[in-house]
Amino acid sequence: MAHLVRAWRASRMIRFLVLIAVGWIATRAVLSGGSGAVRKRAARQTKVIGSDRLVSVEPLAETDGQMCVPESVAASPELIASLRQENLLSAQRQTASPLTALLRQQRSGSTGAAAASIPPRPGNSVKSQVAARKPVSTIRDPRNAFAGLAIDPIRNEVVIAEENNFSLLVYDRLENTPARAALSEPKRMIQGEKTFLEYACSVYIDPETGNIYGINNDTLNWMTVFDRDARGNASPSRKLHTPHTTFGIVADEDKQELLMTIQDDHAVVTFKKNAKDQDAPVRLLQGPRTLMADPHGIALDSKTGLIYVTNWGTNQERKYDVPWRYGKVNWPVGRNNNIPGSGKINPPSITVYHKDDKGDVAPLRVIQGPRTGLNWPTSIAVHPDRGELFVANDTADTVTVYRTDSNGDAVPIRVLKGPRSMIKNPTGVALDLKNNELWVANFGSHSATVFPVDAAGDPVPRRVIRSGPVESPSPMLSNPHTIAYDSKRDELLVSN
Amino acid sequence: MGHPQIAAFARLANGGAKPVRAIAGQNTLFTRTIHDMAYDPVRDEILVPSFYAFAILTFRGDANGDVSPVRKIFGPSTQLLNPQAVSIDAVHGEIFVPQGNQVLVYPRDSNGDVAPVRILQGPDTGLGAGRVTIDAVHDLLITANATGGEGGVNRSGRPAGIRIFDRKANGNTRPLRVITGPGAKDAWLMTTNPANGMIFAVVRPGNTGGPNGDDIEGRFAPEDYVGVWSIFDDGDVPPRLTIGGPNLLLKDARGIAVDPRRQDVIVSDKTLNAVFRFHVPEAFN
Repeated sequence: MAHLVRAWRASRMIRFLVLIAVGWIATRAVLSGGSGAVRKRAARQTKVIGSDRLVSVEPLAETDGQMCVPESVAASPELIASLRQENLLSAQRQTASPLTALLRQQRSGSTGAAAASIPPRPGNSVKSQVAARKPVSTIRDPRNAFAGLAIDPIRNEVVIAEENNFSLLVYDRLENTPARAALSEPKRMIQGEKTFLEYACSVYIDPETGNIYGINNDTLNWMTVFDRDARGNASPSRKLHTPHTTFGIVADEDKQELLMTIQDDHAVVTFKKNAKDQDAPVRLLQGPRTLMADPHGIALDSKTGLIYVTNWGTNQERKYDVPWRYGKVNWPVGRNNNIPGSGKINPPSITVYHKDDKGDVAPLRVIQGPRTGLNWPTSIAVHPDRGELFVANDTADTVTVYRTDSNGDAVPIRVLKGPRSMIKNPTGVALDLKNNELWVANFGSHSATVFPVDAAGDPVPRRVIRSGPVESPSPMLSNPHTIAYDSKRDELLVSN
Repeated sequence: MGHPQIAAFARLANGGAKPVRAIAGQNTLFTRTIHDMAYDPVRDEILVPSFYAFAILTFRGDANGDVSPVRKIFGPSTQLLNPQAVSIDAVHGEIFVPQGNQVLVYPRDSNGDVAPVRILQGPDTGLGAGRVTIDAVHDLLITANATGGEGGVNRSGRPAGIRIFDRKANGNTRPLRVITGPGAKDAWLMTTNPANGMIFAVVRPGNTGGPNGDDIEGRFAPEDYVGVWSIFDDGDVPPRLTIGGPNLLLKDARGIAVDPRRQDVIVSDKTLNAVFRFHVPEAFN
């Protein structure tokens, strides 16, 4: 026996083989016994033989869903959001887990611990640096954006209401920007803090004096009147408080009155032409029977005494048996009297009234329907001698022409549209009755285009006034109010 | 303002850049200025309030041109009244509409004449809710109500400040916290970065047009800025950071968005008719 022991000790090969055999037996014992334990207890199982850890078994968590889940912690929440809803929450919560724990502490009342963990406030140096930091990019159109216009055939000028830089621009009526020129400079420009101009959308020129009346549609509730020669940061010679969201203006020279459309109130208010400051309107046309719905343009047929109002189509119900707002007689009933859930969606229309109509009066006629081609009808002009209505349809890139006695689902008698016409997002039309010309303000192409009054189809303009190069892009920003980040396309959404 | 639209610009757009697409036209049902919108990254949809039609419109995320909304919350049961603002909880699938002294909540898939599933309102809420934003991670509903006036109330007489509620708050519920002070009382449009629990709000102090929005004095002063608060801030605390001012650039700040991946803050300004992008890693760390 002693001999055998000595022989075994002497043989390193035999010792090695025995160790292998023992290891194999031990491994089998662990695996055969451990698998059942894993299923039953789902706990970490380890067998130790001697001083060496030979085998460690850790069970996988049970799953009943997809095996390959998105990488939630490192990937951007936006990417995960585009994949699965629950993954977004998971990812955001993991990213924000310290804060979540802090919130739980606060809710459970352990405010002392929470207070100690609230993110530290940056120091004054950091605050100053951040406050003074300049933007890395700026989206802004430096050019003038033409919104509305009026012609002064007596003085051979055109006045353009401009929204991008809050100005009124005066050009020579015969100005024609050469094809290779970047732009035409206006003869006069009324612009600045003293002017009370913001988002001027409509303009009127007094034929007798040449004075310029500007309508601010938003953020400033004033009609401003400037002397004909005003320029620069000029104060208006007078101004009139107008209802919020006044859009269109037309004058009744016979009665020395101004008629204006009010978007918010679905109304037409009439002021004396020389009204100023806080003067009240002399007439109000408002109510459900009028069928006005987000009215924009207004035109007066001086021969028939009819007024034409373009409507975009949405409105709502409101209570009308309320005291006059601001104590002003004939001030339209405001949106504070609207009835919840009473919104209405109608097709666009042109509603026709007599210029003296007041109160809740039904229109004499309504031009409305799919064959009319109306699409955001923003501005309207009437040619009394030709018996024609001209309508600027913003998002159809058209000017549609109708008979003044049209009614119902009327087909336009002419349509101006096409690349040669340069009509792009037209928001203003005006007629030069002396020279028989149609003017169009193109908000979408930095231009005003002039056509013969009987133009149709895709005509080349007789003249063009441009505020920028022909191909210059137009972001059409106007009162950029809200923005959102489209994480899927890496784009910035900006609303006017 | 003659032409409402939602224009999409490339992230690096600069100067007078042309939008890559724009939503506008009769079929969109847009009215006047669009005072708020929300992007839903889960469904890839854009939500827009319709001020005149009393509707919440939902468009496809890639909408372009004169397109109709794919859904609209619209009708007498909705209780919508001149909705100016909207927010989306993309995680839990709910739409929030602040409306004066209440916040209406609808399921994301709502379409047609549906009633809100919750309404946060009542004297204990302290609302004023001009704007609302949601932090879905920390389960918070955050409202803001700028004063535009004096004495801690807005033009409608509703209390100013940033109010932080539980996301599911319903009925006459007290806020968890109220941030007051010179900045918060003038906070208006907001967004959040849930990853670090920060609230970003445009702040419009000083003269915002007087009682009727008709004053001119101070209108062009660069008083505005973006204020950054923590969701844990409470009481009379100033913003942790200010961006774009005060007394630097912003004159009439309106919209606010954040790009957390690039650590950028984007803000629009009405008077400057511009959209600015600031790189502010300090606000995201």
